[in-house]
Amino acid sequence: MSYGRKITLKSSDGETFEVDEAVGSESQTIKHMIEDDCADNAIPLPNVTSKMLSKVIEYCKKHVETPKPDDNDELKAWDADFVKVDQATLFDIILAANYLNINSLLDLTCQTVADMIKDKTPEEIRKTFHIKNDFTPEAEEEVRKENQWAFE
Amino acid sequence: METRSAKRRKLLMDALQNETHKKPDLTDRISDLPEAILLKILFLLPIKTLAQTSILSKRWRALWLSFPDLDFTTINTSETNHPTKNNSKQSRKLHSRWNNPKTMDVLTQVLTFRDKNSDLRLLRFRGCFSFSHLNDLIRKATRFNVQELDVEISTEDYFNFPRCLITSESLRVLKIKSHYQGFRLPPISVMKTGFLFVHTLSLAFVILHNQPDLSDLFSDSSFPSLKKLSLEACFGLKQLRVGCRVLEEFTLENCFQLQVLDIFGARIERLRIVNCFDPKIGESLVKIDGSSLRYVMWEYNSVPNSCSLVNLSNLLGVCISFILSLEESVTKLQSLSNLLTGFSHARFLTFESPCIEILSILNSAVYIPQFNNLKCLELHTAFNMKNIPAALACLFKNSPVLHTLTLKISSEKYKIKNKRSQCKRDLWDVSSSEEEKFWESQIQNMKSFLHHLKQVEIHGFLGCANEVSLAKFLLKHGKVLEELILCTENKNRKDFLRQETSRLKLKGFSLANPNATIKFI
Repeated sequence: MSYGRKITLKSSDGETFEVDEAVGSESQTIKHMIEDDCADNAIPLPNVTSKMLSKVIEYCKKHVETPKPDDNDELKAWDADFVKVDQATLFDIILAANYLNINSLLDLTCQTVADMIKDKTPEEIRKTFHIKNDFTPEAEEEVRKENQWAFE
Repeated sequence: METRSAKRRKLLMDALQNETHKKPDLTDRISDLPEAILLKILFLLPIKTLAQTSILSKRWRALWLSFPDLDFTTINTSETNHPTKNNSKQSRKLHSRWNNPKTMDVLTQVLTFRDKNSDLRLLRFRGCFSFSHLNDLIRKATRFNVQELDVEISTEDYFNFPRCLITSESLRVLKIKSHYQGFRLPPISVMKTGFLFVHTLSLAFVILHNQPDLSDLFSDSSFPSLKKLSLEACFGLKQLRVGCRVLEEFTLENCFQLQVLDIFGARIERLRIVNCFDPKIGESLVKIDGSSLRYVMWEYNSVPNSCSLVNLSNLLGVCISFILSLEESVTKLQSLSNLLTGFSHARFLTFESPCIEILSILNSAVYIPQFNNLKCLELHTAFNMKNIPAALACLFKNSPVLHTLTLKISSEKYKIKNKRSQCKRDLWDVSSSEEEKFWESQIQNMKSFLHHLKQVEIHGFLGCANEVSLAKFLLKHGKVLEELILCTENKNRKDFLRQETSRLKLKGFSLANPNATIKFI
């Protein structure tokens, strides 16, 4: 099934991807470029690598192809699988979704990170995300006291 | 040719290389995210977790100390934190649960340590406070230029509305709900000068015995930015006029002593009035002048003595249920007619229980207006009283362009017993019962209705006399009727009905529109 004309997207490392206009328009950034008539040649996306662009396109394609209403259990399961990636990839997708202005993808990935933080102690959070503790032990103790209620 | 040791060295080198390639990425990607995205993630966390992140690193501490939204209702996410309305026993229980000195301190602590230069976007909390403590918290919040303040509180004594909220230039949304005791509004003259930037205001459990007349408060010159207004349980409120210039939505609930309601805001689009008006007062009055009004919910209100509804030609949807005692004065009945006439421009109309029952008892004592724009009509009724078909016929007759009719039949306990005895007859029996004869007698009156009706849905259909005669009548005479949908929860009944209906044509039952279909859900 075709969704109108095709547009070409070019990643930061020079790779080109041809997609349906509807799929590209899931990104507000790309949509505005199409509306401003900048889409006759390939749309350059200097902040998105080819690896990320193909991931994002995969997401947009699935979401355009799934009939609404969107609160579809199958789509939710697909989304849950989509974000089962290593941390580095997850953050790369967040940055790509932010740059390309794809709200649903940004929401999905942010919720995934929030879920990773939710039920962990601060020590566990540090370990998971490799956050460097730059407090001296005294300073850390002071901060803990400041927010004592949260640690009870 | 390679020597064995060279081969071994090569294998080792390869293995080492593989190790370095498999080495995981140990960079802290999360702290490097742009602040807007990191905040987006943090907005999804309950406040306790958020506070805990303050010890992760200096940057995270800075984020916590300037975090824009402080929603303390997420503190105990395991507890059900939804106090119910009007249930004093439950609210007293909550009163004791909230009366935890620790909760009070948490708020003060957080606001004290907070970065003084960072503004608060949202502050939301629930709890039991002393009047002075609550005042102190609110004052602190206004010093942080709070934009949205949403509080549900219980105090040991009446509290006076904090004045700093009135003059705040940052406040955009104010929601105060009080349990037990309640709060008093400041003098109207003071309130009228303030709230300059507030666009959403919600007040519940306001004590107005000392100032029952709020006619001047929400005039077209006060509350210049107000778009949404909700007033609930305003004890002692007797007179209210609402006409703020940019107001779009207004809700009034549980104001049982209300006598006069006058709504004249030129931009009001949605109106919801529930459980209001004092049935014992002789001089009650409602006036609505709403050129922008689109949706009205008028539910469980006693019919006031006088109703004046004008300029409602843009009305789209109305949902109505009124309360009327059965021995009402002529004035009240006239007033009910005026109410219905005022709503008669609607395109969608729902009559909830017990309207149909009341109309059927009152019979021709109430004038039913013409609903010339009505496209969809929904009626809720138990459909078990003698004059209901007459009331329905009157509504149908007055809805000349109706295209969808939905009938929701409720089954009350006593009714089910009767139903079982009546429902064994042959469903689509060609011979006419008394109810069917009545419907046949109405054909002339309902010509336009029968020429427009396209879809009918009957919920709670059990195949009893009343329902069946109506269904048969509509099928026999609905010239453009495309679909009749019958919904029932009783599975056995559904199968029996489906069986009976499949033999419809065999019994010589003729449909006005041969393409009409009957569906069972």
